[in-house]
Amino acid sequence: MTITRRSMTGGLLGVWAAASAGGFRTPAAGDVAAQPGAGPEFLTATELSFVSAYADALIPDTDTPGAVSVGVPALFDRMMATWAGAKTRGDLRRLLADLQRDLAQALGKPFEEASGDARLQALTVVDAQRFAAEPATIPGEYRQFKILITRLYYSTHVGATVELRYEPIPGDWKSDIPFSDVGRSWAK
Amino acid sequence: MADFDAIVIGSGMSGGWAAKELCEWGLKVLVLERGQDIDPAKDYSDMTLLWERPHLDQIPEDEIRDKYTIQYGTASYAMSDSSKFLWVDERDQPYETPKDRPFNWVRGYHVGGKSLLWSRQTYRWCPQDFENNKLDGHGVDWPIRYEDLAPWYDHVEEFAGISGSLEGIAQLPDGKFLRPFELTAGEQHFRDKVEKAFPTRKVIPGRCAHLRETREVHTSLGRSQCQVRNHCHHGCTFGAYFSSVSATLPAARRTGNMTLISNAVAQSLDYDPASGRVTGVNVVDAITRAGGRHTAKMVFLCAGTLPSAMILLNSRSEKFPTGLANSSDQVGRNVMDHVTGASARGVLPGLLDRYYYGRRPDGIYIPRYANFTERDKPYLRGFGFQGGVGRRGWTADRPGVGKDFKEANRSPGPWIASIGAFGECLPNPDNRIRLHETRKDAWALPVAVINCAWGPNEIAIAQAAAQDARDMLRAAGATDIKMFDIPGPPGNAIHEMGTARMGRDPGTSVLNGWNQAHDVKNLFVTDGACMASTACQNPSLTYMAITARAASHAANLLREGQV
Repeated sequence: MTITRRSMTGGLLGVWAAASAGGFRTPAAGDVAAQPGAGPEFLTATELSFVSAYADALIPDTDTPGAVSVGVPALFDRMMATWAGAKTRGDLRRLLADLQRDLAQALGKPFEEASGDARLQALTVVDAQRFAAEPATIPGEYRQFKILITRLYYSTHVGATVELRYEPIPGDWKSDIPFSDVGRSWAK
Repeated sequence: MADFDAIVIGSGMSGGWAAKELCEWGLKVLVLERGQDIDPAKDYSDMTLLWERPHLDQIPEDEIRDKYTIQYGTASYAMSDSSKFLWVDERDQPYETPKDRPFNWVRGYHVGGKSLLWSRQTYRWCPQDFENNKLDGHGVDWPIRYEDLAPWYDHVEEFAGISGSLEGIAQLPDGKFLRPFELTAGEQHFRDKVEKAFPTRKVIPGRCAHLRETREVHTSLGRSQCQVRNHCHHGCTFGAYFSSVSATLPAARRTGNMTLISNAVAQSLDYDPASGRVTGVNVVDAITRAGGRHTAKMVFLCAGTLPSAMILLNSRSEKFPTGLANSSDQVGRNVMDHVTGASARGVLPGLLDRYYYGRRPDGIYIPRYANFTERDKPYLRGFGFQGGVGRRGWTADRPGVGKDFKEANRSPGPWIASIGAFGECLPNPDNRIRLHETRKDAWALPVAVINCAWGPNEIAIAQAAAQDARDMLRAAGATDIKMFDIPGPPGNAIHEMGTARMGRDPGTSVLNGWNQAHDVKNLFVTDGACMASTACQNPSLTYMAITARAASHAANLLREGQV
């Protein structure tokens, strides 16, 4: 059985164009976020730089665009500006400062200035430490941050339809099919 | 001279049915809806794509704190930024509870009411459900039996469109079903293991008010087949799930007999002692706060279990100093809800080569077995389980970063089984709603004071259901099982019932076997207020059937000049 993927249309070229724009990359056409060309609304330039480096290390470009290429840092900034309350914002600011400090200590330089391999190595360690330190049942601040970055990625057009699979209008329910007919996780 | 043959107060699940049936019987009907009108083309957000929704469509945290604190605690699964207008701003209609007896009151004030917010599970009651009060002495005997309602279940199921499987289960009668949403591979595995370990139990596809296929009765109203998007709480542009907006109100409207006024907050009913009848409905405009009055030969009160009681309690007269139709002192008493919170989940190993297509708006159902097929229980009544077995999708809640993290999310995780109970609640006259003596809401109406708590039987049901859920997951071979046995507060099921109960004795009940007030012959109450018990099944289908039955009777009475 072949799954018709009506959603796999019209997105790739626009996505890669956005990915190559550099700087404060706004999300691909169709994704919602900050106004095109606008700067960050909540994060400071330093925070934005770190969030971008973190998102790039967490979900890098591979055979599909990664988090930075599809504009996740801008989406995250917009989310903090329009959705988050004071406590969430404050918690996030403290978390970002802690992460920046811990990673800089591990690397001997700011996380953003390290090479890709070094970033990956350092973040792997810090990520594992954070998971070990937070309660297993209820995500703490670090896990919430990681979940949010990841969720934003899989909610973009590329994250949902290129990296994973998403059908806006499935049309019918097929209750039991081979996984190979889909080939990837459903984004939602 | 009355303005209308009938006034229907409320346009939700019950009000929509009252409007449709009365209009189709040829009556001129005024529907009063306290909330705003709904235009699906403008108001629904179901056609917005995943990536077109700002901040993941989550309601801003400050707004939740200010407007939706209680409701979000109960119904966050259904609440989104693009559909938040369907939920009541809690500042407009506050209510009070004792500090140690919380009640989660979830409300949707707009045309269609909670028929736009419900989770669409639709189950018939069985004969025993109408007999339990008499058998065990809790509450009053229902004045009707299953046989009285069975043809009306048929009637509403065919019109609404119910997806379900024919199972031949005595405690969950089959109905007029459209084809079911079949079980996933994980659910088939779960069913086989559970039914083998517990021959007294069944695992079946959920029965839900979705058009898995269409009939002329549906398409003639512009409704079409369910597209399996699971965007239901954003409204459904396809009209594929049953709501007043997609089905009953359009059916009423096409008769030419319905007038609908939105933003009309019913305040009280006028009673004429000379005729013993309701003569008018007093309203206040939700926007302008201007008062008004409408008259009709009879009134169908379908404002919702708690609001209907509040309207009756606010309709005081010399004849009824404690509220209209309240000679029994039962108006506002016997507040019930299904007890929730008892659940378990776990990981089912294997079947990693199986998957599914579509976002099914449904799940599995385990019909009641306690005190039915299993008689050894230390508590009364019983519970049913709802849930599902699906594959865990992508997750960020695990260690790992980089290419490996990204790659790991390309394959779905293991099968996760999760079931949660809806348990029956015994009627208790001390669980009640009354009106505050001085405090008023945004429309200058007295605010509610709700005093309701679970009794020992509900607590026992929750604990037993949680253990049963755990045991069934174990029988299915699940690992990493987590069990939850603390009941949520009353109101959490959003199945509130019982504040103007039906019964045989005017001294102990408010309504007779036709939902007609014992005290006031042209007043009918057909929403959840009328329920004399809760059973454990989701109640909306029974509200629909009871309403259609009452409307037929009322139309006959009107024709014969008896109301």
